[in-house]
Amino acid sequence: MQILSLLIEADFWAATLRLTTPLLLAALGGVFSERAGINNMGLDGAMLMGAFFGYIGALFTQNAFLGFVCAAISGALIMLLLGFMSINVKVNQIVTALGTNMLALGVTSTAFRMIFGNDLAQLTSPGLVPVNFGSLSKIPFLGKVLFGQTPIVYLAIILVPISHYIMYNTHWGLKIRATGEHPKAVDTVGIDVYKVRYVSLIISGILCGLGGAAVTLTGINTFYDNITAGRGFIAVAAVVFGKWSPVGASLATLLFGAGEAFQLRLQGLGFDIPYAYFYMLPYIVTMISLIFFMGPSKGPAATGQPYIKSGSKAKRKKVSRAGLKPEVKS
Amino acid sequence: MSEIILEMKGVRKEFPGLVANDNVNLQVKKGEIHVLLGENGAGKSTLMNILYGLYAADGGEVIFKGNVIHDNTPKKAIGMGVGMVHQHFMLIPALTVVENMILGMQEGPNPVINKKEAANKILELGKKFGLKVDPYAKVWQLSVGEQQRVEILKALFRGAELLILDEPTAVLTPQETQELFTLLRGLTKQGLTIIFITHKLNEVMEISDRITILQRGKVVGTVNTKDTNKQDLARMMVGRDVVLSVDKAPANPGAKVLEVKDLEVKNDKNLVAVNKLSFEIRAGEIFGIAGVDGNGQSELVEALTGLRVVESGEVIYNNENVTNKPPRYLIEKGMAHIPEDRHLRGLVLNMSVKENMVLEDFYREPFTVNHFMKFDKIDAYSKELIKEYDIRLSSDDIPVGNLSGGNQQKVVLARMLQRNPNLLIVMHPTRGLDVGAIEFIHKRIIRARDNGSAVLLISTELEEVLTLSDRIGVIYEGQLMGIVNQKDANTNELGLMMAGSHKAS
Amino acid sequence: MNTQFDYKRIETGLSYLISSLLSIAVALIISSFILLGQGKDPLQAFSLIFQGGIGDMAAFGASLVRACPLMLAALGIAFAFKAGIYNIGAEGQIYLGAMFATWVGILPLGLPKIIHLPLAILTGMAAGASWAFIPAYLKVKKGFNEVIMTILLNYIGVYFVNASVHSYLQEPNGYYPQTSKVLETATLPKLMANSELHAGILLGLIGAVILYVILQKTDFGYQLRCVGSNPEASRTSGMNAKLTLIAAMLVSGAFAGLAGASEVLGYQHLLLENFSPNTGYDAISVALLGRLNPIGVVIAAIFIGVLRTGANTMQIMMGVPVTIVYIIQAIIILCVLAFTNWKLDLSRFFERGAKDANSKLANRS
Repeated sequence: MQILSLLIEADFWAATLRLTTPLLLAALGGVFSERAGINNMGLDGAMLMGAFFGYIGALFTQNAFLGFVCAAISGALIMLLLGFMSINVKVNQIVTALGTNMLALGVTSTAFRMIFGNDLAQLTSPGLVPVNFGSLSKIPFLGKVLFGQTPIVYLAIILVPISHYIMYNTHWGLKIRATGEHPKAVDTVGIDVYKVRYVSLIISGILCGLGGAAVTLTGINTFYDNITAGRGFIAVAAVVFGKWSPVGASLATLLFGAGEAFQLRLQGLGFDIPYAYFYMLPYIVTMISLIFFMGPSKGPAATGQPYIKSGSKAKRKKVSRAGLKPEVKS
Repeated sequence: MSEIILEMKGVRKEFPGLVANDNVNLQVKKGEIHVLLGENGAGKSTLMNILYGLYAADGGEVIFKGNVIHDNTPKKAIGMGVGMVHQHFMLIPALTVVENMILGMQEGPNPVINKKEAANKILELGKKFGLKVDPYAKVWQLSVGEQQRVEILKALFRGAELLILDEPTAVLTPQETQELFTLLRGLTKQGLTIIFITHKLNEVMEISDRITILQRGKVVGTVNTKDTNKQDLARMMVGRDVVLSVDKAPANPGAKVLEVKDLEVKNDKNLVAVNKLSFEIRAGEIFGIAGVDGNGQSELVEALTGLRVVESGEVIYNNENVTNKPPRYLIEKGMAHIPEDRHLRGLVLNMSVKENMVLEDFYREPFTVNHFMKFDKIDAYSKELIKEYDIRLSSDDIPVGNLSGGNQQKVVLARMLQRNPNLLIVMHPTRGLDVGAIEFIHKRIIRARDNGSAVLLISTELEEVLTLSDRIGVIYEGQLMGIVNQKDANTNELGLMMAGSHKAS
Repeated sequence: MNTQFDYKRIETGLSYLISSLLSIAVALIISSFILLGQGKDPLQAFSLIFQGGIGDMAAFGASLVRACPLMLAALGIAFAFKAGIYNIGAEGQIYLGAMFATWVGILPLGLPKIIHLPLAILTGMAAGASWAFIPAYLKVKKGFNEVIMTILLNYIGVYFVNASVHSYLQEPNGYYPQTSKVLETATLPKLMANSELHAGILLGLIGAVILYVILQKTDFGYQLRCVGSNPEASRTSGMNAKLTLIAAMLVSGAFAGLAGASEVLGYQHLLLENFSPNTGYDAISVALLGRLNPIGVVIAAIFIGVLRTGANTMQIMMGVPVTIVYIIQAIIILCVLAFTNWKLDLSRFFERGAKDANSKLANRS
């Protein structure tokens, strides 16, 4: 009973929103790149970059907002690298993403040590503080949940309808959706497939970077190795779970955010079981919801396949070999 | 009338190991229907892709409406008034007709789509040219004929004055082809110019004003349709006299090999694709199934070969009920299958020719003894097949993906026929191949029949079904519209059946 | 065939070797710039890595200890990748393998070593295989993406093992989150005096040879390669693609489990919380660097082992963070991928010879 009563506490829901935000931003980023036909397992690396460079940016400028700007740029940069490998060099996108994720881990943890020394005596950066809504925050329950959050939470929430509108009501959104489905058709009406994919990846990188900074700059205001702890992969799962739509993916992240908030609250109750069981919870929630609440679904038809412009003067390249060949969508 | 709208001069295009276009000259007059005629691989599509800006030419120039075009791109070509309907439609199935139409058509800085306005424009254009479509339908819900209309409309929507159609009749019934021809004549009356790519001689004579013939990347000549005939065209196209029929002795049917009873199969969208279908095939005969693509042929073959689940009905093979048996079981019983898409189903492209020769039998003696493969045996076997089936290659160690289409298909054919199958299921055996390879493959299929195999031939090329088969069935929406003997068959009747009317009995 | 020189295979091998060396070179050059930016001498850094990793027998022994779990796990990963299934789940499989091997290893069964040790190893392998079976089953039967599933299972597996060493597997009356020591009857023998080098490395070498033979010489390996390259064509020609994928994944998980088991039974001798962080992910880069070829994997694992051990020396001596090897590794992965499409062309050199031989034959007949 005590456990269930957690679910009606305002603190629980406030924590859910806060913990959902990084996932939500990354998942929106995932939607943009996957819709454009890039099988994006690189969200995690971009989040990690954002988490670190957001923290460093905020620390050195002593300004949390500039920290977020640095985070967005760093996320976009690593996605550009992923883009170069999967769009121009045309190698397997999953394996490339493993490479960029490891690069992000290496760059962030090495730079961290180079700046703070190997003993990692570090400083706290400025972070975002909750927006002051005045008397609104005094409304019972809703006040705490909705009107006591940091600005990035509100930005993330606003981005959901904006992304939906862009995706379904603008020419740009149409180009992105078409590119993920049938790049050749897009090419034949005079649209540059590569450009669409690059721009989508940059948007994706910016959103992931912001998501990463939302981990470091909303309270703990510091960094440690691999701080994002695989959140990027949960975001990928949310994109699949949300059937590649901005709204669906966002709702999916809410579920996972709730799982994380729930485990934090459970830890607070002082049960006599190892806390690692609680850590496991969000991952189990993700997995079970994927398996039981939805069947396998088909993403955009051309996701994961490099687009090879036909008839260009360059010798036509064969897409990579044994084991490294493009993912066959299941 | 005689104003020249398009001129291509000395166009050259090379692909690795192949000159696709060699000093090609082409002149098209405004308002005419100009046919580009040639075999598969003669360079027709390549030439048009250069005109449309998809390929960059290695040499020569393109002059459209008096302007020399440099650094052509599809965007530029569309902007000048060139439209192209590709052989494989360039429509996005998951999107609606409107969305497909306005893709990349942003005018001015406003990024927001006005779907209603676009839909009205589509309806208006449709009325003007007599092309009826539902703007809000999703493309995957449309029939092939409707999709083609959307493609033509898409080009007109973008202001095309010159419309290129690449093999547009390949996916149509004879009746739909007639409708298309009427439409095209209407378009030329409105001032459009049309380039029509085909390799079918009957159509050429019927639709065109002038014809340019390509052979192995070179122009053989340009003629007025009224000054020529089919035999001359065929000679120019192939470079020698063509035997338009295949030598074939009358069939000598033996025991019943395959019997299909009330077969029902679903497609990937979980809709009924094969609907209560029944037929039988005897040893020593070729049973052909004609029909427009997408009427359940693929699902039928997949069900017969154990690749797709049979919902109801029975497949009796050699007096044994083999419904829903796995592929290997059927293969071991002597069934052979030449699949419709050799890249998807027939070959492992990045493995060597040699390794591809034993895809079915690799685990059996003599190729494998006690789970260890005997590569010397495989090598000898492969060399034997390469010689027997005249497969041209530099070494059987190279990946099979490096071979030409015809030689790849011969690898599949060799593998299947060498097993002396009692049932041979063949789908689109000659799609995309040149005349030489087609003749070879046809002869081998007939030889298999004469050696006592029962053959099921499924093809969308009516000509092919008519020349090879002993009996012909026509499939429409998963049902057989009727079965006729080859000697009683005529194109008109088969065409009506392909469009869904039952055989007049 | 018998008379003609089979240069194609050499061509492939040479291409792989050259592009792998090039990748390593690019990675070292880029990391040199990072070091220079920090005012450190890259040559000194690399020579410290070399000395620390391979300078003497003790150092090399330490590197091989490092290489051992990477090698075993990477062999499994390469095997799965060859079959076209992306097993990113070695991390979780290693942890599960280690946990179950430890569990058997600390049980006072009173068995002789010749039974107890293999029993512990096999239990670890079975645990890894079982953990790998979950995503394999979900992919084959339900069509779920194995990459997402294996990654989620990694987190679940690692936390599960950590929870276990905090509870029922914790040493009796112990304070630390660790198990009791594995009994002597279940430990892998040492290979060298004054070094931690244990027999796990031999398991890696034997495993590599076995996998190589399976892949290249047996009907199962042929089928696996076919399924990995074109599952539809394999199915059409009568192979059971689903079963092949599951089998490949089970082998893959068993090798990851073996990696975990050998790490505990050969080196650590008890199970700690987070006992081997990131080994499963590092093993993916080893598999790629080894070009998914078992023999290549052995070489790549030893290389990464040397790099890792040497980097520790470098950190101690120069203060360069050891995490720089992540950057080196990541750049190597990306370069190896970028060079995938590149191929050495020896045909001009050899084909002329072949033609001469052919024309001689023609003249004779």
